[in-house]
Amino acid sequence: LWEETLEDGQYAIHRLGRGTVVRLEDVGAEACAHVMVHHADLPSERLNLADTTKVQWQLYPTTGSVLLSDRGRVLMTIVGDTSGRHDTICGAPTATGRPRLILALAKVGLDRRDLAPSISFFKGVRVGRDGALELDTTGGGNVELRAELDVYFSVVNVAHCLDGRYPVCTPLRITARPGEPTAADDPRRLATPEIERAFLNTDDWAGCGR
Amino acid sequence: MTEVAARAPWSGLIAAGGTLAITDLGGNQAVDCLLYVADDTQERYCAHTTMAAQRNIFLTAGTVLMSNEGRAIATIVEDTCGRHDTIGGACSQESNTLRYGHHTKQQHACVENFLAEGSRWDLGKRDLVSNINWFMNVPVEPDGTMGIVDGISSPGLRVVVRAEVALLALISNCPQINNPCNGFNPTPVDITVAEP
Repeated sequence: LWEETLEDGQYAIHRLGRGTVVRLEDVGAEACAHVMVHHADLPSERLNLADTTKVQWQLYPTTGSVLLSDRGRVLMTIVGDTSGRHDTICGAPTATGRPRLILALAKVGLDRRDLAPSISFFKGVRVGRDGALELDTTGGGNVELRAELDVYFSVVNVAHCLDGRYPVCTPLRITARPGEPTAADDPRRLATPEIERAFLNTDDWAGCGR
Repeated sequence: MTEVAARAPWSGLIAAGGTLAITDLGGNQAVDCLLYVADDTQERYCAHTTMAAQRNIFLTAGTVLMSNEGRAIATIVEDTCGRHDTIGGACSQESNTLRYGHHTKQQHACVENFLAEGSRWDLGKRDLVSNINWFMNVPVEPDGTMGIVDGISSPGLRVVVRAEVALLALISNCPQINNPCNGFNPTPVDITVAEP
């Protein structure tokens, strides 16, 4: 469906239909994918990282984690992750990431008012007991995300804001394939009561809107 | 001095160089707060930029509050509580359905307060981003597990923020009754704005 490679400093936005699986690959071990997700039918609904982490009681997303919107719905599910090093705390760098995410959003008629804190893949931020942040710069691997609603998927490839090595990002390969939303009997959907209720809210939108 | 009732919203302007003081009157009361640059509300408090800039998730005295444009917009100049949260976000009707079940949907929530109070300043859903939770205690375990646990605040503790540019503050005195963030019992807080 969608095939694109982002070099350092490049960005893209794509509409992904419900069920589509997008794969991000850190081919040279120095990519950092800053991602924002909006509900295409209702763009004021978007990724809410506070709800995403709080509702799942987990700051470090990986396979089986869901990306929640501010309306209690599942925008995307992480269905594959060979990296395990991601960041829900620091967001896209204000000097390099944010302006490009704003350009991406402009392509679908959205503006800087629509940009909320984004998630970053392939550079891991960990929190110490004292609250201090550490960056794990081990790169490589891939992440697969399934759209559970029709979404706008925005991504920019720039170095993480805590990365004091100031690396030039290696290419980020993006591929998408068609698929089905997470099935009613999928164990991931039933993993916790919170995730199950988020999918019920998602089905409610998808079903009523048909 | 303004006493903000339990569960109620508040909003107001803080002049550049002025201060916003919030006092926890009853103890263990989370106070959800968003800050906007007064003359351009699309520039606003950014939890992520703030945490990245100080390389720490906890807000306390000395923390510089950053905007989404990477600008220092406020500084915590006094804090008798010790630390505050900015990863937990605001409770909403929708997230309450996930966390506590659909029977809690019609309970009052911080996002309802933000929407109602924000509408007076032409702010809407698109303007709501990750907020500050004054007096709320959200520790993170080594495996990434987050808790919302009993507060470390008590009656009379306060935090004072100095505005570096003219700011609009949007506040929800958190009405949540399903977790310990308010000790299961929302109480009033005092808000005092001072000129430079």
